[in-house]
Amino acid sequence: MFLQLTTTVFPFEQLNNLSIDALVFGFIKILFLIGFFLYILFAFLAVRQIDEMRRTLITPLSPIIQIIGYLHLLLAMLAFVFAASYLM
Amino acid sequence: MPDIFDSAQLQNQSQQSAPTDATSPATVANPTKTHLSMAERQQNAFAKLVSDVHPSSSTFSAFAAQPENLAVDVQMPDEKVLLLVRQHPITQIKWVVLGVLLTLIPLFFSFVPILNFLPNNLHVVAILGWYLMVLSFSLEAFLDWFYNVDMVTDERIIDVDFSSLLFKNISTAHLDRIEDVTITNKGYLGSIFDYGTVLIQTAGAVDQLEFENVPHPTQISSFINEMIIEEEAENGSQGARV
Repeated sequence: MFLQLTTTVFPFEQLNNLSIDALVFGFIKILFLIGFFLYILFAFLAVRQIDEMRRTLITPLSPIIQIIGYLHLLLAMLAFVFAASYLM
Repeated sequence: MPDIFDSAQLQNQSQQSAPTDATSPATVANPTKTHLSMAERQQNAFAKLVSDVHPSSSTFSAFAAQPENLAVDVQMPDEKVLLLVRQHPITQIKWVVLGVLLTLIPLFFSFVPILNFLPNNLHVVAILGWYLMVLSFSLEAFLDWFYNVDMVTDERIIDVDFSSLLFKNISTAHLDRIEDVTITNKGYLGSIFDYGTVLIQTAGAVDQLEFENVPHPTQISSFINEMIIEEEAENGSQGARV
């Protein structure tokens, strides 16, 4: 009775190696996408911090560092888009 | 009400005692401390460190006397930065070497097929994510070095600290509030490359300012001491004028 119920609810016999791989790699893909999204947030924070630093210490290099910060944010966004399109 | 709190009486007394000659020094002098402009100061009043060197135009310098094109947001209009220091470049070797090693790690995995169980698309994205993390690590380390600066101006000592992305701390101490300057030069590298830590005890709300791993700590200490003496002389001469 119990065996019949579990096979009905959890059809283990339908899980083969391929589907387990797909499940695990699907989970890893989602983790990667979450990681890339968090990286965008980090890059955004870095831009804000660079802006704060630039206003605190004014040097001739400050505009270049600010551009680097924005390029870093752009790179993070492009990496997320690339990862999403490449993995899905 | 006690007389000491009676401001009207105090004002009358001062008017009676004040001389009527408008050109006398007592009426010209401002009782509050005024900041002398650089033009008013004798150049040789500053320490040899600053008076003898050409203004530094190098943006990346860790020890810049009279840095050009540089300002800090807490700087006052007549205040001039005489010395800017940041950590000695040799202390930054750690993150540079670490960054290079982290960059080379994916090459190691290309020779040693540990990650071959991953599908190709996951492999590519993992390497991309890895390089992004290395980039962020290097960027953060550079920003941490570049913007964590210590300055000696003609009026104050300024310590700018950015410990992380979310922490900013600017401590200042007026030269006449400095009590003690201590230098610590430790380690083989510190002795060879002449860098160390300068601790400045103050009588203000911030009891201690720290110039960490800065080049030429002895010169910095001497310079601060000379600036303190010069500041005391300036205050003394202003007191005499008043």
